[in-house]
Amino acid sequence: MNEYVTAAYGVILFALLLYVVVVGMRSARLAREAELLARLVEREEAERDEPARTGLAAR
Amino acid sequence: MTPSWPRQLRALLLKDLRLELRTRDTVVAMLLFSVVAMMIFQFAVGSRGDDLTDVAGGILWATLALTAVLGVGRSWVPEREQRVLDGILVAPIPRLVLLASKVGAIYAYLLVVEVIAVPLTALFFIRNGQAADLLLVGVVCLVANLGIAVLGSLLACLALFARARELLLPVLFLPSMLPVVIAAAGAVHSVAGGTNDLAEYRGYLLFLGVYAVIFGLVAYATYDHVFDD
Amino acid sequence: MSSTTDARPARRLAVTGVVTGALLALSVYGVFFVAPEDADQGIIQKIFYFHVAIAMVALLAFLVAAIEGIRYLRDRDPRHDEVSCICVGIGLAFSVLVVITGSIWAKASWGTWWVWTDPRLVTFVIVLLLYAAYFVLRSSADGERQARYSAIYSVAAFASVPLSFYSVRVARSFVHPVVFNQDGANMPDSMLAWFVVGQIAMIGVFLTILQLELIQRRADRALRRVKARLEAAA
Repeated sequence: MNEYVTAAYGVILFALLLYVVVVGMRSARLAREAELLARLVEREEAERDEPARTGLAAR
Repeated sequence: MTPSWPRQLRALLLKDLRLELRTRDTVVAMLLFSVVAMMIFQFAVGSRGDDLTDVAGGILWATLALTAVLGVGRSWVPEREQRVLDGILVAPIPRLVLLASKVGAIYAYLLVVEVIAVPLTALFFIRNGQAADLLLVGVVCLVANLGIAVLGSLLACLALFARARELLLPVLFLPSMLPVVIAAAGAVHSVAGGTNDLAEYRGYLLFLGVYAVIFGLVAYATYDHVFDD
Repeated sequence: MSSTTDARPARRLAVTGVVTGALLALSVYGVFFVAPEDADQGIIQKIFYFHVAIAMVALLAFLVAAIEGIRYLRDRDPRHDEVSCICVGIGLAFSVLVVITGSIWAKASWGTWWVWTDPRLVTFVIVLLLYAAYFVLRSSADGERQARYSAIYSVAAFASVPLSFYSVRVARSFVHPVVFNQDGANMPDSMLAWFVVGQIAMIGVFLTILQLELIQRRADRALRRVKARLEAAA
């Protein structure tokens, strides 16, 4: 009979852990997108600075 | 001069019924479907020649539940197909009256199907049936139809603008129908399934009445929001 | 009221989470090492502590979803729709657990993995269908209509829950007039106390998950806003 009790509690524990994994995956996706956006912003800032420097050099 | 709401209700209801009477699309399809469904049940569970009297009520209401999906799905079609809905909403007709007219239409369709389906069930599945029992079954239909019609007209509106309307409606409608199936089948069984237990019959009828009241309240509380503004 | 740089949700989540974790640990300890074993069912009865707690919380989640649905219909604030949706999701997940643990309990008690005679178990199967349909409905519409239809259905579905329960129970009562076994109705206090602890722990789990989901959605929305801005500027 013990197996059944263990199974029941095991299922609940498993479900909770499953949820943790789901949250983790969502978190990873958010991190990836945030990083992508950060790189995008940094690249655009670099591009904005670039022309200014070459302009000074040309003069 | 805006006509009173009973008159509006009658007008809307008659419009739908007259339209249906002219084309007979919905009712004929529902009738055919119900007969075929009963045959499916017969061949699925009765091929061995067993006595199905005990489950006749169940077969009847399984059939009616599935048939109701057809009728409910068609109840808003006149408005949708002719793009009349916007016009009606602009008109000074209370939305509750509009909903009520749909409830009436579904109720009528179900009644027509039951007039055929109930005797057929008795013929196909009930051995040693008594005509008086059929009257009691009729009362079950009268009460159950109300809850089905109220639930159906509300949910049909939710499915109205969906792309997969024919798929969405059964998915929404049938789970909420389960209590009706349980109670109505039980009620029929209690008087026509080889037994005759009036206390049980009354219990189920009461439940069906409560069901209709509760969903009536739900519909009353939410009807205004069902329609786009 | 600005919630964009508000650190309170995170703090609330931390508090709720820690308290819930502690209660869960306490509850498991109590159920297995302190609560007396049931005279009739033996150790199988231990399943009931969490099975019932999860069932109650699932119903609570659906109730909150319905209430938030009504509130959405009243003021059309999308936050109510968001909470309503999350609650239905939690309720649905918990309902799956109820059916699984109920099935395990049925196998342990009666030898079969499934019975149609227990109104609670059957009700939760119906509940699964009802609220799975909620998500089908949601995916069929967008924007304002999605929120509005979901709100209406959350109310209708919740009305179906007691109706489903009583239809099964009424049907059963005609076959078995005896009031069926209300495990938990006459419980010694030593057991009841741990039931309550378990119940509160499960409510804590519900609140923790709810807050966690809200925070995640907030993050998702914020990122989407930034993305939209950058794409527009590019």
